[in-house]
Amino acid sequence: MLPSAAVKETEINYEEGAFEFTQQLFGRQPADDELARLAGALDGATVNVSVKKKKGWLYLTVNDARFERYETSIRKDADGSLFAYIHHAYAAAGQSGQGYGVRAFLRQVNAARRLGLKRFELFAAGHPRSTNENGYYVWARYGFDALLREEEQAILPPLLQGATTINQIIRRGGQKWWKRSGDARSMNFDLAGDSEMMSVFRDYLAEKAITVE
Amino acid sequence: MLTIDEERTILTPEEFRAEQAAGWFNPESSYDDYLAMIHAQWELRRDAEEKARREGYELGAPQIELTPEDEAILDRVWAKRAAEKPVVEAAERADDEDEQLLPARAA
Repeated sequence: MLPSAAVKETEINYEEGAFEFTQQLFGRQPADDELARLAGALDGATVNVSVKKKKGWLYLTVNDARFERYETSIRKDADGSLFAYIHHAYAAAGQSGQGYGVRAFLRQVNAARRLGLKRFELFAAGHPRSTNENGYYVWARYGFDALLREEEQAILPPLLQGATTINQIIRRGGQKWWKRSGDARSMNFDLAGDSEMMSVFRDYLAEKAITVE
Repeated sequence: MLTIDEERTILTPEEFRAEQAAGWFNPESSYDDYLAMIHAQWELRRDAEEKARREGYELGAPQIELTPEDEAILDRVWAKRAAEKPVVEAAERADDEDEQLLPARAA
């Protein structure tokens, strides 16, 4: 289990139909604290809960001066399992580098596991020359993973040959290769307790001495 | 002719060969293989954009900070993972009988 504590002073605002949809989606009504965590809300934030009816998504929007935008939808896979899709996560001007993003994501991971979600998904944008988007590299360092295309596998240097995923490249010490030659794509974070992603994130938090969130 | 995000600089054949000689790419790959990789990556982005458009949502580009301290920690964490899982990876490679592993060379 990852470190956790109660979310303090967080308000939840349900838009029309959102309360009922939340119950329907989870099979029960999550406590405000759980839903706030799932949204990634830090102490003092407000969470708006709405429904994207046509898509069948629960949409969680965090209102917090520390973030320009932090928005996540909760969806069902074709097999009926729940997953979370992080649409937007941007620190507000002057707020980056203070660890708010990692803490918000940690809260999401804890809540998602408790509520039975299987994974997180997001579009990790950017490319090696981008000056404003580096998600393809940074999310991968925190454990997000995706398959490599065959064309990428074919051109890997000898030390990385045989890797079929981004996690495997980084585990073999190929993070610089990925930074120089990788690119944007959808990535997943498997919430199973024994997943590579959870292991990396858990060890990172331990070294970072983040003991409670 | 490839249509690629204008910001994404593509190596020239000379630059590709220089990087290949420095160990950044499979020594048996060609410049066409490199272009095929760039094109495959562009396809991934295009597919994600088209899916978002089709399903009616803004694709977004969530960001999370990575300070030099974070990066150093993650280097150690991943190195620990590598130490824990080398046997599994060797087994995975051995499963692929057709694969000819190239001689080890520093990347």
